[in-house]
Amino acid sequence: MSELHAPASLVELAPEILELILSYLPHQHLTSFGRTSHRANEFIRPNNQILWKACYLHIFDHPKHVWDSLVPTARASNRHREATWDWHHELRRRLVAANALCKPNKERLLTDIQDVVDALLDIRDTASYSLTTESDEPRSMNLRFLNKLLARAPNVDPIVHDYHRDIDSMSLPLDLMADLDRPFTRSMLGRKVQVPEWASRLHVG
Amino acid sequence: MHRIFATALKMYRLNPSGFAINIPYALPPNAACPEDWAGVTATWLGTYAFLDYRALVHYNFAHNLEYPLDLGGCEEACGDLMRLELEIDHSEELKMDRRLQTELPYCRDLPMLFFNGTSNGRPTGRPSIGVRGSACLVPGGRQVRWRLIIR
Repeated sequence: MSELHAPASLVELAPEILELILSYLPHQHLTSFGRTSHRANEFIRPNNQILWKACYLHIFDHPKHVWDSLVPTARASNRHREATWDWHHELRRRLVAANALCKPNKERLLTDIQDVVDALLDIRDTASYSLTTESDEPRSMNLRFLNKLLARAPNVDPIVHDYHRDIDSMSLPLDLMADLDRPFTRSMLGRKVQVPEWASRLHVG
Repeated sequence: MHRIFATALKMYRLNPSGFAINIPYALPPNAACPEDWAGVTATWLGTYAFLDYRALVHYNFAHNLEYPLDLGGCEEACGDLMRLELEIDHSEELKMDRRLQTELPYCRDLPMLFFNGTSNGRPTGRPSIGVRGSACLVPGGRQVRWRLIIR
């Protein structure tokens, strides 16, 4: 019988065992682990979908609960998304959006606003009551995430409401309106950017 | 308006909902009315509000554009908290109501629901206000379009 030797390092463990161990780690620890060596970095690369799926499900509800409850028309148009769903990509964009909200860098936020809001809406749209607590109360990890985020983010109102509030930055040049045959009013002040589609989908109670 | 909703939430012991209202099928289905996929027969609370038109005129015609006005700071006139009690109605008369006719497309995965009922505020002896309307899925099947006629 051969002697058993303990592996010299973590990366020498059998891949499925290493994967199991790493699947318990939060994402920031996975990233740190990836920095320890080339092999570790290889292991946590984005296409290790099993690992990143486990990491995603630490924080967010499995989107399949919502997908399963879609009416047939909605499900049909969702098929492509389901087929190309990438756990690493989806986790990353949600966390990047959350970080952007928490940093008070307003200019940066305005340029990335589409990505941030799309990610937030996605978290909302894939939220489901997939957990029950001891008292049988339904819980959603996505909702918990969003509520904690809103509590932490310093200034969410300009995103949810009118982030074009500053008339000087967003109004059309006044000389374009000079030929009007009626008085020029504030309500005519146009916007450089079209009102985005997501504005109609983001309404928070 | 926020004050009224805060009162309603406390009265009915509801938690501030925020994002939670967006979770599909969060409302328990009505066992007595299985066709009610939209929650028509659930508890409805409503109110109405309007801005003083003088504030609107001032907003539009204030000439000093360097100091942006914000209508959010103006007081709204608010109605009472109203409680709506609605029932699904299959009658032809309701379906043919001219005001509920529309050419807007809708997703037929779920049937369009027609309903009527009443809206009541605090008991004052006044007659109830009639409510009728329809609910259907928008094309895409992810949101519900409500049409309410309150008179």
